[in-house]
Amino acid sequence: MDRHPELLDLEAVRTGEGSAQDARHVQTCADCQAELAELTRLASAAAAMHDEALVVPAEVDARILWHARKRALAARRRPPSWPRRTALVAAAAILVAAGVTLRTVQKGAVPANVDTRAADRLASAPPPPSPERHAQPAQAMARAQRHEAMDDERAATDVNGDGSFDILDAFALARALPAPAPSGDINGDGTADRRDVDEVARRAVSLVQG
Amino acid sequence: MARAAETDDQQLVARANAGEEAAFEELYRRHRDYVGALAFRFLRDREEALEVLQETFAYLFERFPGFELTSSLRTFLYPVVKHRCLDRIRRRRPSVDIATVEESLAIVPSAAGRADAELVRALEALPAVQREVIVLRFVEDLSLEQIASATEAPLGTVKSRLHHALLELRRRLG
Repeated sequence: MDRHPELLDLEAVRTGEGSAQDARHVQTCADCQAELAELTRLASAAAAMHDEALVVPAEVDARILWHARKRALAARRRPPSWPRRTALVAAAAILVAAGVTLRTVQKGAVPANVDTRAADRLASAPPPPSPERHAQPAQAMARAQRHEAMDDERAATDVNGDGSFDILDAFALARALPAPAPSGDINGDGTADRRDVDEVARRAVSLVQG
Repeated sequence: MARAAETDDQQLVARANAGEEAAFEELYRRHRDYVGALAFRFLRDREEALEVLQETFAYLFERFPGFELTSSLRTFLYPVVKHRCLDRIRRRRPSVDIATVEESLAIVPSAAGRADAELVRALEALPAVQREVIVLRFVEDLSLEQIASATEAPLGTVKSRLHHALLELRRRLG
């Protein structure tokens, strides 16, 4: 007959973690069977002593689950990973470059395919009220006046609050993401995300077919 | 079975990392009774055990997103509960040194289960570290590797503690 397993090896046989050789030995050795039976009795007795449970009141469950919901929300709002962030910055840089180009073009001759209606609206807007009538600085008044001239949709897209609506707003929104809705929720889908940046850019650089 | 539960926990952790609310809730439901009973066993005080229960899950949830489960969730939770209970016991008796507090960590059967008085005496006579290993093995049904992880002790140390504890119990109860 092969040698008796050590005590720890027998304990491993009890839980099913033992070697096949030890398990076979136990099947044919009365001494080891008795030893294993004693270990099993000991384990059951110890487990039976500790079977008490703590009754958890519903309000404690609710408090912990409230915390769980908060963390789930935080996990969903996790900042973008590095590759995604890099792509976002690159996209913003392209938007800025496009904006600078467009401004340069607008300072000179306006190309036929650029929608100038926004500029026309600004030009035909009533002049700002005189500084004497209002206490605000003239610059702020002018900005407010320009906002009035813009339609509601465009006014909502003055993200950086400089009083004008242009491609720089798209850049500002891209930098601010993830922005809390509704301030950054330009397209009204309930969340502020990359699609809102696209929407601001689309409105800022509105090209007509031609 | 323990391995299947471990796989399930891994999947739940992955889903919780993705922000799935139901996964958080499932993790809580799965381990609530274990954490509660463990805290109660250490503290013998229901209100304090409930506070430890809340603190433990708050600590766990705060690690999401980005939590990586390298072992079973029970072996992750065990030292969290134990250390919080130790802190509370220490606060109750600030003048007592840490070794004494560790030695007094309950792991002693409740009054309801005192049928086997001989076994109770034998368990109480063991050094705290050996008693802890016996309970983790017989009550929590953990593998030696899991006990090593839960108690933050080397595997060899755990084997040695279990071996000596079993010999001592056999000697006392034999």
